[in-house]
Amino acid sequence: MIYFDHSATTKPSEEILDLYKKISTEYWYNSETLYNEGKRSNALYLKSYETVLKEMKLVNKKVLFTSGATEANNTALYGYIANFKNKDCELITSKIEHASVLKVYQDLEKQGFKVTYLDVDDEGNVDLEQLKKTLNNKTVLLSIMWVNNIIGSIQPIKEIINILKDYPRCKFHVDCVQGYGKIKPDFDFNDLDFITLSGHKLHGIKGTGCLIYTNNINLSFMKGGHQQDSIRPGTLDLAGAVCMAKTIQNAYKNYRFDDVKEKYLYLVKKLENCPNLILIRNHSSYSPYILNINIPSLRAETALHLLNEKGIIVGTGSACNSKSKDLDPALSSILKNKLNPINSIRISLDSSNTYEELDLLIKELSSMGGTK
Amino acid sequence: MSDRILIRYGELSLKKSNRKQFTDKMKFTIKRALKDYPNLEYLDCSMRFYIILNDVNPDLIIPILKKIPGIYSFSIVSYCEKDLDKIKELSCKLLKEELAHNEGTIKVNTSRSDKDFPMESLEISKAIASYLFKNIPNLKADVHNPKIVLNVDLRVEGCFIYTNIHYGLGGLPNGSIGKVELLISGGIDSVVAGYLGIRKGMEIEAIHYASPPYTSDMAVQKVIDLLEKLTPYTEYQSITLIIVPFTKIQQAIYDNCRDDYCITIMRRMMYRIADRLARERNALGILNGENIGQVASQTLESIQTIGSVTDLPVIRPLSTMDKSEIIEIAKQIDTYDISIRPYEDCCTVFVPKHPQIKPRKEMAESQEKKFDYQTLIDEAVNNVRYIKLTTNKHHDIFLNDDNIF
Repeated sequence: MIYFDHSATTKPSEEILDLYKKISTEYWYNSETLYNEGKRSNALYLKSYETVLKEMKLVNKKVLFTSGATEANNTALYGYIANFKNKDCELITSKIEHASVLKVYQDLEKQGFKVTYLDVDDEGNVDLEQLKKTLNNKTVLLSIMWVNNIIGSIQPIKEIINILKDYPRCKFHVDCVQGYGKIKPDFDFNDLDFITLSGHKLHGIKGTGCLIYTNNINLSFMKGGHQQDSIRPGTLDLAGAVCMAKTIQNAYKNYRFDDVKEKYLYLVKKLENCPNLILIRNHSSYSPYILNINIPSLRAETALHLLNEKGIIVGTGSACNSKSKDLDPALSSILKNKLNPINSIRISLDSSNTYEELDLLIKELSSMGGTK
Repeated sequence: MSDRILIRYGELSLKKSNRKQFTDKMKFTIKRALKDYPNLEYLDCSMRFYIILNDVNPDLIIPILKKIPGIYSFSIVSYCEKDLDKIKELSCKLLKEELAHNEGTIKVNTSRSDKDFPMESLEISKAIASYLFKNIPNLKADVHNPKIVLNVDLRVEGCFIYTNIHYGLGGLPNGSIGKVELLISGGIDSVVAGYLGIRKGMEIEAIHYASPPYTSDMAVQKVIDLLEKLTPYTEYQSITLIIVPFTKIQQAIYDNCRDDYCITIMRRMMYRIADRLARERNALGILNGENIGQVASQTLESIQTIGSVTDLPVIRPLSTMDKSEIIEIAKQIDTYDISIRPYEDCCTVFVPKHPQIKPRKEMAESQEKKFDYQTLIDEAVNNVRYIKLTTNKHHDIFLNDDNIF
């Protein structure tokens, strides 16, 4: 199979798999116990924690190992907003966030919080003027993803950090899942209050992720034991934590931006003149790992199956929607009414994809559907 | 806009003849503490020291500087050419950043050490102030109780403008005074004593007496965790911990000596070992957390009887403090929560019901004759274990797979 759905998930590396097995067999003792075996588990947990901070050059931050990005996003947003029982505050996000952010905001809105969803332009850039107008002294939370998972637009995180300097009350959450390890940040992770990361998008293990947050932020979400500062009670998944930390440590060691960019541009060059395809992309600030292609004459699902028969795997707008016929609201926000999101497929690359694979994809895509 | 940090040294300025030695030490200590920020540049101008930020967020640097002994205060400053119009403009910009809703009261403070600048301090302040009032609508002057003091520092090397002052630790550059051996138990006091010693310029090595199986590795880990809180204050961002195997000595004391003298004699043995190690390792004294009257071994009689086994100076920075004052410092340096972990240490096992609170030296000596402690001390000293602790690198004695990361 030729795999072009790396933004949905990636194949775990041998190194991480071996590590997972090692930790699960050698360090299965509960890390919260007082005997030496438990203490050894705990020591490894502390080492994983320290590794994350060190790798990302973080100061005054805490690390919470989670089951993935969805849990990290939920914990950050629900956990932080739980501090505002009187609801006398305002929250901001964008219309193109991942469902694990967007739906939390929608729920908070239902609970009575004032929520603003920032518009995006045709290329998936969040409207910063609208952000500036919406921010005020009551704003306590802003959540903007670093790299959009559907069309790959990179949001101006550094500019937003500067805008937020005038609003010290507003905490900034950034879902870094599609950016970390793939793109070098032009901002300092220390300037973010919440950072969400996922292991399995970076050749790690599924069920691993983490939330990094500023020291003095109080997060209350679940109730139980005192593991992980009582924020995520329950016996620690040590193998998951160690593998997540290792995945974070490896991410930029395996940095392949230039290689992937070359492949992306090759793909764009070959496909942009195909009369049957429309490339939905950000021209100035994009991640080369993601290319969204609209085939006006064909439903994405059909295109996906046709390609699948030829041994090629691609994604639809957002793989998280495979169980629902609802259109991805994020993609609709970008396409507005000009194109139908139902016709969009997503190619997401990895440096392991070869030019032969790209050529095959190009061949199949260029002959797919009628003309526009 | 604010592009550098101006550092002012404290007590250092008192040292006339060996000032350069001290300032050099400061300079290198600061650089080592900030080595994780390679973009920073450093500028040394006599009694002042500048860190050029090169876009590094000063909020990351501030907490590190606050832990370096010898720094009296520092400010995040903006460099400006020595041109009055430019100074006015930059002052205005800085102030606007500082003020919410362009409201507030200010005072302009000019200090002009560059006497070539054509105007006098007062004139400069007046000129800047009147420009500010013209350009910031709701700004008012208040020379007695201003909300913001705008400092304009005209020096040979340039003009520096700032509105903030952060106070540092004070004290003396760490390592400028010589080395001492810190006796550390794991309780609240000894680590605070270590901190105060470091702040006053002493290089410290820590001695911990371990009595397995009566004390556990968790007690050792506790001491490590405590000392790791102190490494950021030190000259080389590191402290060496010396672990002395103490079980046999304690057992021998318990088996041979009068019950009520056990603690006295145990502490005399600790001092003897510390004295030996200090001499072997070129330390000039012993530092500990003794506090007069706190427990039986800290009465003046005990201190005298115990201290008589060494002629090295014994420094007791906590000797006259109240427990609440000690706890306050422990919380400030973030060691309190570690210190109250419940593990046994060598001072809490083998505690007699009624320890002698007025031990006599002669009695202690006659009790000690009952066993060959010298051989036991030699054996303990020959079997010490060293652990080097470093800032930002947690040492965990339970970690046995150190090559995963």
